[in-house]
Amino acid sequence: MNAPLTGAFEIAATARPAWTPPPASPPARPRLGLGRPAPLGWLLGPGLLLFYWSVGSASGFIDARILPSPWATVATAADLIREGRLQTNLAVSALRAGEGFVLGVSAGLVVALISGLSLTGGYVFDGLVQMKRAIPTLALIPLVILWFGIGEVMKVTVIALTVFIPVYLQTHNALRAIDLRYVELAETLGLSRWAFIRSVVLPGALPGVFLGLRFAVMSAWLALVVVEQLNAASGVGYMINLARTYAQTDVIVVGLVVYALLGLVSDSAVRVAETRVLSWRRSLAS
Amino acid sequence: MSAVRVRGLTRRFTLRGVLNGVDLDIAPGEFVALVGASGSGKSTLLRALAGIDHEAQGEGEIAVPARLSVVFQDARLLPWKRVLANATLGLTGADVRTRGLAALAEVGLAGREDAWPHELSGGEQQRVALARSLTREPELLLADEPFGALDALTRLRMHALLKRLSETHRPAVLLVTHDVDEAIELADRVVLLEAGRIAADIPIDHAAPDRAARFLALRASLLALLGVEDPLSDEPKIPGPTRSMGR
Amino acid sequence: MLRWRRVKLAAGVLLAAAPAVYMVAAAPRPDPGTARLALDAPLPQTVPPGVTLAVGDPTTEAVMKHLGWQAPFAIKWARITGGPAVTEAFHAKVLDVGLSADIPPIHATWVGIPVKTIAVMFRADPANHPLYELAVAPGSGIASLADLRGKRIAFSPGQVQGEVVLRTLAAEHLTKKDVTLVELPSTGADVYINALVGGLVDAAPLAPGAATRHYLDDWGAKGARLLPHPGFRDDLLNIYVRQETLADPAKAAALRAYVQLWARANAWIDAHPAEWAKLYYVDQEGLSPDDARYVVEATGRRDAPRDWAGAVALQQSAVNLMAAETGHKRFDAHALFDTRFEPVEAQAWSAARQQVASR
Repeated sequence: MNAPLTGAFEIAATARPAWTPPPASPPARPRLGLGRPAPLGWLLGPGLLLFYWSVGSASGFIDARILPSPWATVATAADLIREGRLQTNLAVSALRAGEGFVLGVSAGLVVALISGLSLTGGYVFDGLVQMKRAIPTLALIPLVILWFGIGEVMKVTVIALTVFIPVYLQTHNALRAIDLRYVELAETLGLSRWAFIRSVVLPGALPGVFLGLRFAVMSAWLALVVVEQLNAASGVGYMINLARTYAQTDVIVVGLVVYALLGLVSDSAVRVAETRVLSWRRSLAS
Repeated sequence: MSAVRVRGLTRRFTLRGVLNGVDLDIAPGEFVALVGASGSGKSTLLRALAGIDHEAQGEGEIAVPARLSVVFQDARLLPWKRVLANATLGLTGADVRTRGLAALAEVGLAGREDAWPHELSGGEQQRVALARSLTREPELLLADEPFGALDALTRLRMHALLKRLSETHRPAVLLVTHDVDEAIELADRVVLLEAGRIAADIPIDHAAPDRAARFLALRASLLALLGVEDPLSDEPKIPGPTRSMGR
Repeated sequence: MLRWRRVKLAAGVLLAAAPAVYMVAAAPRPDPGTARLALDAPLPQTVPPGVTLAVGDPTTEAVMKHLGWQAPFAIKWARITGGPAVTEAFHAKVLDVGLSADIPPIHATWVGIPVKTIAVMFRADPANHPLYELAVAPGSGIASLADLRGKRIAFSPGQVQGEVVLRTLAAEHLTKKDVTLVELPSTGADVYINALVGGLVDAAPLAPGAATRHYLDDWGAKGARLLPHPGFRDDLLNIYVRQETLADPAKAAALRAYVQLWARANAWIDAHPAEWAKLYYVDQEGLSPDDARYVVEATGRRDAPRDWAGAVALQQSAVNLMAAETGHKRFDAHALFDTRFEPVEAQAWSAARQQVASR
């Protein structure tokens, strides 16, 4: 065993000073960043809105004709549910939007794969899609009516066309933007072209695909709203249209709330799916 | 018969010549360190050997073995694959999983095969990259400053690991590094690249009895060639307060 | 430190509460206020300055602009016609004067918007110039009105189209259970046509006009046709306003002047059909001269009755029919009319016809 350290390194017991409490620490610097978020803080905005709506309706400041009170809206919603009208129309609308969404997403993914993974594919398709993108789908409705009539086919087609664009754009960009470092890695590993696409390109593009899906979901509801305003005999938009002729503002508000809820729910569904599938991602949000 | 044979290699990027006639031989199983100042062309030479310099123009003759692996300065693990899948990327065959697990155990990551890359530290990620490079039994291992992004303590541990791996598997190794100490410690031969040409080619005898002194001398001369002051040297340098560490 | 946070919190609460306090304070009180004209008080004769009327009457608008007529009040022209649009505009209080067929004023009363008709108009020779006929879809297999049994028919209970369907069914001794009524408001020329072509309905009431004519041209070969409905009048035109507009004496005077302008414009249209076809249908609406002529001929001449007894009777019959079918309560149709305007309209028409004849 070594001899214990002695001499200059040892602090003699007598030399140790008595312990005194440390002086008051100087105040910490004022915090400039945002600070810790409150758990339910996001409810403040909608809560205030509800509060003002209620106060305005109860005091008579808001004309009940123009905007019914929150409790009248809830009562109307209860009536519509009791009559079954809300559920039937909601189911029809959701089905329409769902079909259009699936169709548009499939087409968008397929075309984006063709144009993203090959230069020639890109030359063929990308220019066409950029041209189509400049024309709002809703402006194409008169043509679509001529070609597809006014039945369900036309409505689903318009929704699919609106959904196609964001899915294509985000997927195409994601496929083309694969990190060059991974491409080099794949080359040094001697991966076949198919293995490269399967292991590097497709998984690397998935975050972009999900971003496209979130835009697509929003577009689907927007297109649904417009398409149901014209020539529909079923759906939430039809319910709103009828309410216009009967001056039933409360039904209109219920319909709008239904649309908003549908949008929120479907967006959350996409985000949940994204978190599950992209479980490998550690991002700022976690 | 050399594993690597390079003759008259030139590379340039839009008028700027980076490699101006490089001749290099590496014997099978030989560990060569390539040192040079920044911009001397070390990485360009390595990438040319790896076959991934599609953008560069130039001429020259390159012969490299078919089975080669590259280790980059960043680990380049695919974030969407777990550690084992990364280590066995591109491998085919029935025993892929066994080989992967064995390689991970060799680099000291046994038990971590189901982790995601982002859960590993920088050093651990680079170890997975090393495991990946070894699972395919390469005849040539190209390493482009593989430990440059790691802290000094981890770097020392990785030196020991690389030394052990190269002694076990015996590939030919070309290690590009800016760290002279690392080059002397690991390599059988140190090659100095300057202005696009090989300026020095110095073999290292790790078995010589007076290797400590010889290493110091080699270190001093390499640093001098690179134009860097040697803080360990006793000799007077530029006028100014002289400081030297005690022996 | 803590004090500052408390101050911030207090300031935040005050800021949030401020709009609420404002709303309570600024809520409108029932206003005893400005002079209100009773519904049985005589109509003011002169229009004070500064009155504006929002009017949805494209035909009068076209004539007035073409001939450069001036009104003693400011007119805000709106392209709002037809029952559903006028109802919505009345509900939002953005329209003063609306035009529609017989049902919309009844419908408006039932949905809680009290209205009054201030002028009526018919078609001369209604049997040959009906407002609506029943169009059938190509491939629907309907050759006569009796074939409507079991078919899908477009139905709009708030518009005269709905009444046409109900009266047609009644004339054929069919009830609502014998057919499928698809509730669809007719809010544009192409809504019912698209519904027919798209297979949404088998039959729908269409007005004989350019769009209908093209529908028959395009789809006649596949079985599209127009069936005349059994003999009942569908040609009543109402000029109607919200009851509260009449309570404003300034606006009531302006309405009186408007009825005179409207009568004069329609008398002019009657006397100059060719010029009217060109100036409105060709130049403004973009129809071909052929289509324009067709529409003008299908409309025929106008007929302004000397008194409203016939109109009241028709509206009462409509009230009774629609009340039974839609479950609303019957009421006395006299409530739909502001009879102070009855002599106003009669005088306006005779003056107008004289004026036109003297040209």
